[in-house]
Amino acid sequence: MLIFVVVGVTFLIFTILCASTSNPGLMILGMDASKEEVDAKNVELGWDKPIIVRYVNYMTDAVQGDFGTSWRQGYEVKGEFLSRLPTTLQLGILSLFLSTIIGVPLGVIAAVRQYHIVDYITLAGAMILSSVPAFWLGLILQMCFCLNISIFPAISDGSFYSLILPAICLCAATMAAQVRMTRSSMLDVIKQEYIRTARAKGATEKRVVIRHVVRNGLLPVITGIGMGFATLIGGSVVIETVFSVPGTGMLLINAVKTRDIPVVMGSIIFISLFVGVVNLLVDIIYAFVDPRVKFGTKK
Amino acid sequence: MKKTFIALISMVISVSMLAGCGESPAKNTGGANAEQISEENKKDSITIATATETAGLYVHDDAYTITSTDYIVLGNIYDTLVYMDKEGNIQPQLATNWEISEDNLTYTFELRQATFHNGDALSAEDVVFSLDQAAACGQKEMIEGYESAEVVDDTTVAIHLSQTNPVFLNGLSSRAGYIVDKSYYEEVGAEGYNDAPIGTGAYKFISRTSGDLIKLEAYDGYWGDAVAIKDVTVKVISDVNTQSIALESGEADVVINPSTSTIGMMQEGAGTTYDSCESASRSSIIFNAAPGSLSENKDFRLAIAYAIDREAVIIGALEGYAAPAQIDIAPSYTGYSDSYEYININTDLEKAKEHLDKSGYNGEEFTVLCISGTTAERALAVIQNQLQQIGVKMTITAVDTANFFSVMLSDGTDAYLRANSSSACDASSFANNYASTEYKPIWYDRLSEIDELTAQAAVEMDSTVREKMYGQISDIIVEEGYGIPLYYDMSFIAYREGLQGVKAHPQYSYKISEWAW
Repeated sequence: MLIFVVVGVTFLIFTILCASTSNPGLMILGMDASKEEVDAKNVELGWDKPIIVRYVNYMTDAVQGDFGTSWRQGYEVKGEFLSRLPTTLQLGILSLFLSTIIGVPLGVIAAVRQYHIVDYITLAGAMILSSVPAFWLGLILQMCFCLNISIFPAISDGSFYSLILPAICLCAATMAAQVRMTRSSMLDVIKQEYIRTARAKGATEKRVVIRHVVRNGLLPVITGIGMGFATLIGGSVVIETVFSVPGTGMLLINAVKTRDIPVVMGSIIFISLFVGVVNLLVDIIYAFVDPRVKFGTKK
Repeated sequence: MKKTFIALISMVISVSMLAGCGESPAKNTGGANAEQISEENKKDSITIATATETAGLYVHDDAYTITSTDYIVLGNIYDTLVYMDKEGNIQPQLATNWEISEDNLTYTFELRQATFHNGDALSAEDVVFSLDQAAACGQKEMIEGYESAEVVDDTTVAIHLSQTNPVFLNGLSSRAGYIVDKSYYEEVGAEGYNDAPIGTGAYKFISRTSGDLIKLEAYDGYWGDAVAIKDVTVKVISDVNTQSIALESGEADVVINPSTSTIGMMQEGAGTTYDSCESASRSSIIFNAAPGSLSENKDFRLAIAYAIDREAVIIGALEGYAAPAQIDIAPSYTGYSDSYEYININTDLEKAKEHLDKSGYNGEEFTVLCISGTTAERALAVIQNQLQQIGVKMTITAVDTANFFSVMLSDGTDAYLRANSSSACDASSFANNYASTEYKPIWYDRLSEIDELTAQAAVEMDSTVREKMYGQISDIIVEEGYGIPLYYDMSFIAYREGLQGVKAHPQYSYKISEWAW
């Protein structure tokens, strides 16, 4: 299924890019080049063939590990993407870590204190964080923490420290989603009869929440975290630009702007595979931590 | 798997939407950190912010696209035989002096004693090799007429032209004239040269982190004066707001070509300042005049020309940071004359309406092409309003940079607006916009006159006669309304106040060796 999805996505992207790029030779060489040079460049890029043939040729090379070279800068796409991936993963993992350690406890508290002022404040905060555009939040954070109180750098200097502010910005929406998901999942569990039973047996509220509600309520949250990680990798496109982080997001956005088709395609394939694999892992982990899923599959 | 599918589809949509992204407007950054200046005075390093990454470090190969802001890296690694100062004068660089033969077909240069960053001595062989490489790639237009170069002796080189070129020295001062090390190239090839470039410039290449930064270091064996700034980092900051914040916070010391909004909102006491000059670029509306199109009609074209208020366009679209252009030749170009009386068209709504009536215009859509997200698009929005006053319905077709030329050549619109630059800082660039081209048929009634004058001016060595020829081409264009010159763009450089010696350059060709804290 993953293969079909990747083929579908890449074909769609390839078609859109090709349809919106009518003369790549002219685009690359500019008006200073002669018509013959432009035509020769188009032939070199395979632009004299139909889209479907170009796509098949590209994918044939791609499955053999050859993702082509950049039209603009001449580098190998695979090497370039892989060299930038650690930065994006570092940012994504840090962001996911922040969103989980803040979002999940807040969601638990909001559920336990339902209709309390804490619940309302948490929900309102989550709503605001999920509504503000990432680039705007990035600017506000830069103005506050880089200009007014200079404790963080405004641009990435390659250090882990310089990734903290982008990670906070990147995790905002994911964290808000986790708060709401955790809260609703916990509320579902709180209403279950086994929780009433636990209370009837005389267990303390703390024990009920930690041993029964949280343990059962967090199961759907794992899916949310997995999906959140995939979203973070995609969301880093904007944040990497705002904070000048040289990751895969910036590579992709620059390639899209300059219609560097091999770079866009290579990045999309890598990201598609990454998202697919992460979701597969989430499903496996889910089955591992929730025995009911395992039993269900055995039947 | 359904979730995976939804996530991937979202990604497809995001990428499709990003395909139309342009630059975002700048915001005020606020804050002040003037106290940093005294500390900055002790520095011998500098961080320079540019919006785009320097793509190719080997200069004479079409595989690597070079843009004007790349000069901050390339112009400090490589030297040319001669260079053009900010006033447009040709100055010696690797050539100490030169002679031009009587027939203007041979240029003989005496080379100075200089070494490449690997210690190899500069020789005439290197110059011949470099120019041959430039002529074999897309840069040959910049050194029009170049036929061959010949080693006279180790420090003398003769360049032969097949036809006279009055601005050949301008071409040699552009990127086509960068001198590379022949023996190093033979050893490592174009790709190896691109990975670790060497030149004879004041700064040697140290390292590059793709998509992020390039590090340079002062070269001890540089032939010129000792430099004050030892370490240079050229950092990619593509977001204009982030550029402002980085400059104010001191994380960047210089921003090359900042946006006009960034300049307009710079605050006193923030420790930042800027310099500006007219750039080598000018923006004009050019009609295609294709048969059957609106712009085929001369009266319609003139109606548009009379209806446009340049000052309002500059204020509305460029926040006042541009100079109005009555002709399509920038005053900094060779080929521009102070004494020639160019024909001008100034705003006159009455005349505009008169011409519009004569044209028989009947409410058809007048479409103008531009690159999305640029000042050209904002300028067209102002012009759209101005044309409403005479009853012309104008539609703006904004496409991304990558597809601009293809759409322009397809004659799908009545006119286009774009910024035109000249790497040789010469009027020939303007004339070529209106002369015959191999790409696109030109429909102008007086095309043969323009073609003839363009061809004559391209080889005319008498500067007065040449200026007159370009004046005549300009007159035809304005008189017939083939083009409407709008404004001369500005070149900006923003920097920390403690940095000395920074002067804006029309072509962003900055020498870091001239700067000091």
